[in-house]
Amino acid sequence: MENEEKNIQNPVIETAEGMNFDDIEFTEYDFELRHQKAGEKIHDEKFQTKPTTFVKDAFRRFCKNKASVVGGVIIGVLLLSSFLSFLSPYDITTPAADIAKLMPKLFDAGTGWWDGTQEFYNKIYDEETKSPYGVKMDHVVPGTLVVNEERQYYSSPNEYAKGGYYRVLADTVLGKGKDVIFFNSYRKFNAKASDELKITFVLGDEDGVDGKRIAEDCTLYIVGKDALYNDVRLKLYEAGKVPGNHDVDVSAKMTEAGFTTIEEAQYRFEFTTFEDVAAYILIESVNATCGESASAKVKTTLEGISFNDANWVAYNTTTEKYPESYWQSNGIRLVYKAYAHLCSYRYDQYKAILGERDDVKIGWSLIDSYIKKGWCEMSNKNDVSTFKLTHPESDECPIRSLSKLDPVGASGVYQYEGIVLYYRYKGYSAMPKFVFGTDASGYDMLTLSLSSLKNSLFLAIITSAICLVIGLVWGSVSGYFGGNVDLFMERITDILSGVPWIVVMTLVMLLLGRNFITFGIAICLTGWIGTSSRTRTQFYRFKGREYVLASRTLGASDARLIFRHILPNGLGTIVTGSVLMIPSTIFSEATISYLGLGLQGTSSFGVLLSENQINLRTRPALIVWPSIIISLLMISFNLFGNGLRDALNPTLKGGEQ
Amino acid sequence: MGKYIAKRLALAVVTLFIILSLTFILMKLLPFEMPPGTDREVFSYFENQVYLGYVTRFEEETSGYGRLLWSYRFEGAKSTYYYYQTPVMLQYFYWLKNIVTEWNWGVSRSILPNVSAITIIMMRLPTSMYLNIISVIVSVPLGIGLGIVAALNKNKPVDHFISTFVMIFISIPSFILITFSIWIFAYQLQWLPSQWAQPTDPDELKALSFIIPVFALSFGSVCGYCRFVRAELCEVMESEYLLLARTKGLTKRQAILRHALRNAMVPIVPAILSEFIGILGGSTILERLYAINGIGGLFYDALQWKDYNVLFVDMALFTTISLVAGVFLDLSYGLIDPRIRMGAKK
Repeated sequence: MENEEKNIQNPVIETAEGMNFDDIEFTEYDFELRHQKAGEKIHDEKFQTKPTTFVKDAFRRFCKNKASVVGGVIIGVLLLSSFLSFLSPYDITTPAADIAKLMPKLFDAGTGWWDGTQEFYNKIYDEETKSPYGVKMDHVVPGTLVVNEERQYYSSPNEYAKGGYYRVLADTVLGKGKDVIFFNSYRKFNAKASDELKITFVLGDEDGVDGKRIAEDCTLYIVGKDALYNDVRLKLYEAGKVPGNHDVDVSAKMTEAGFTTIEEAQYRFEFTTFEDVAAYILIESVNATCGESASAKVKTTLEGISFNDANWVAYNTTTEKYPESYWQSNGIRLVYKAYAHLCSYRYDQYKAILGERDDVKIGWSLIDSYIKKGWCEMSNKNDVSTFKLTHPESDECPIRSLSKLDPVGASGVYQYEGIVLYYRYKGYSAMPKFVFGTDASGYDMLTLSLSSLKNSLFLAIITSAICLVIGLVWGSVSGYFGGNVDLFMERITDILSGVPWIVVMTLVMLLLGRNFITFGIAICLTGWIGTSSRTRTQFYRFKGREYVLASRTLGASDARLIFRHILPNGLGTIVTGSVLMIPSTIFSEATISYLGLGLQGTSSFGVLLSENQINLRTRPALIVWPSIIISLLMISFNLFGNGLRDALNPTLKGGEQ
Repeated sequence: MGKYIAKRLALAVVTLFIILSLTFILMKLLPFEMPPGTDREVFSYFENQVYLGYVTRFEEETSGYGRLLWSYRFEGAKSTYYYYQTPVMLQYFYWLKNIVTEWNWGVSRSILPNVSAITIIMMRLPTSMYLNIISVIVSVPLGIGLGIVAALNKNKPVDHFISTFVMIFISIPSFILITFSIWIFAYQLQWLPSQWAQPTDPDELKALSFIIPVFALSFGSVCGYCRFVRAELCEVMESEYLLLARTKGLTKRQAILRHALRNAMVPIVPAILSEFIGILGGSTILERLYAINGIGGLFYDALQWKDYNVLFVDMALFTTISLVAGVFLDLSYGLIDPRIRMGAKK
């Protein structure tokens, strides 16, 4: 190219050997002016190769670095999805405590992984309902319930426990060596020998872990009044501390002792306490029976004092469901070694919370609004049986059926109970799938993450741009002019950069409040220093080069030197630094949020992470997923930045063809 | 050289003075926070502030001093004491006077009421120091070792693996690393405690509770050192003097140990030295997340409790550490590498 130019400017006049120029006469006709030829113009010859610009070349080199391209693509996808987060069907502005802390769900329940179910271990199994205690079997993923054979023991009565022993313990008030009596004083009955009275009791024999010991003696008596109303005390059986079944034929014993009837009879177990420690007896079950001939009252009385489940009796006595304890004692009655089985299962949270529920109270206005939509019919507001679905096969109506009417007050306010399809009730057209779960306010974590990311990225990009401008100007002036100007400007940056950034942020946030703009100011206050020092270094590097000197000699102005000659050479490093400032701003914002000085009123990534930190143990998904997003973003920015630096480095221009 | 060191140190002291002055004035512009406690304790706090000159006491209500902070009347006393904030610039001079004459940095308001801020810092310092020392001891050999391995296997799978690993972990923010290690090792696997051990805990638990913090603190610097050493060593490995050493008949091992490594270490040693100064500082985030009673956790506590005096002294400590480390880094370059003449003219 340059050679061609020379050829045109200094055309070589070819002359024949030995010719004398003076001999030749030139007339104007010997020359022809090429410009005057019709329509012809002289041009430089066009490039044969394709022309390229700096940007195009940089882009081509950037594309060669595969890792950077991947990083760039990931950043692009995250940016795009965060700016599109407002399209999400899930609301992240009104708190909804009823759907708070749902598990992440991507697949249908039963897939076993990422399906909105939660694994529970060592939960109590309720043998009554054949399901985990307090959980509906419907909400347990089928086939996941495993009941441990091993028994878990409880020594206080429990709603869910079974069996165990009725432990009759000597009261401390009772003193040592005294008799402890266990008796059915509230349920006395007329014992007739002809009624085939029998009693079976099962004893346990075990010294307590609390240091108390099993009594050496255990004697069963029947006491009451005889025909002459004298006190009767008849020893029925002396069991001692022998464990197991003890059968007593009460009628036979009575006949043997010569009684036909004992009125106001009661059975009583008696045992003696020890001198040194408290004694007790363990009764696993009591079965008092009578023959067919006995009166109905006797039958129910005996039924009432029989028990097979010590825990049930003890529990119902303590919770007063069992209004009077049929058995009394002058000692302490407790339950000992009542047991329950533990189980593990997967719990389908979505079905339990968002599926069909029967614990939702429904007001008339709601039913009325559904009737107006044509989803259901109800001709009589006072009669729940008139409720009818318009299209029973579709799930359009949130109320599936009504079962009960509770008038609230007298003013005609009605409240209904029934089965509600909760996700329809909440306004979702289908069962929602919260891919990252929901947080403590019931917000969809994915939407919340992306919208927070949008705010954080927006903040970071704006501040990086501002810092780039300030740093570029400051660094250029300081680096280009040097000398005292540089010395003075450097001292200012020295002081600013000497303060740890966390101190600057804290001070600004404390003084000016915790909002978006303040945070931007806090970042910009020291953020430009990095750009400025990079710019300054570049200026020092290039301003002494020969090509700059040459340009200066030719009379180039300062502005031309700065913008045409020096800056383009250093731009790669400077721009890369500014791009890498974006993730570091997000990082700073997150750090300051962890210190409790995060943004208020704006959802940002730092606030999101620090707020969910407390849920780490119970709902790790709430912190793990956002963490993965931010880590991915950081890694991508690093890769992208590295690629960008190489691509923008003009010394590599045109290389590696 | 001596002159240069003196100049740098003097400059650092001036910078520190300006920063601390600015910070002090800014902190004093924050709204005044009342100390907690009984009237008696509040009174003693105020009297201390009067003694230090930050609060002025009057015996009658006065205008021109801003908002009345507090008033108190002793039982049976004749007059009531009225407390007002001293003008900020005056407070600044009193502050200078207090530090110069009696090294008095003020007392805590709410963390440990009426205890001197310096004492609180001293109480919290050892924990952070232990942690930092251990993490430096762990991270320096590990980082340098990995860097050497990567450089000697340049562009082989080992190098790619190490470089990718370093690139990933240098990008991940530290609080995420801490959160994840607590989640995995403390909650999921239950191998390690989920927070810092109390003084009453058994020694075994105390030892175990060092693992996550040390890991969190050293991971970043391991990656940093590794990247740094790899870059330096790769450059040295391509230099001509190493080729000469090999030509002279040294084995590869000898050449690397005697020539390559020594030269590659030159820029790394100052970084390690300045890290030792950083031992005095604490990681705020780590100490908050792992409930460590260190100097960084103090920063968080002071912020939460609005104990601005302690916060200020903590900030002053952080600033001093970062300035001293910077000066030290610059100076040690010159001391270690004879080719660099610090402060030399063009």
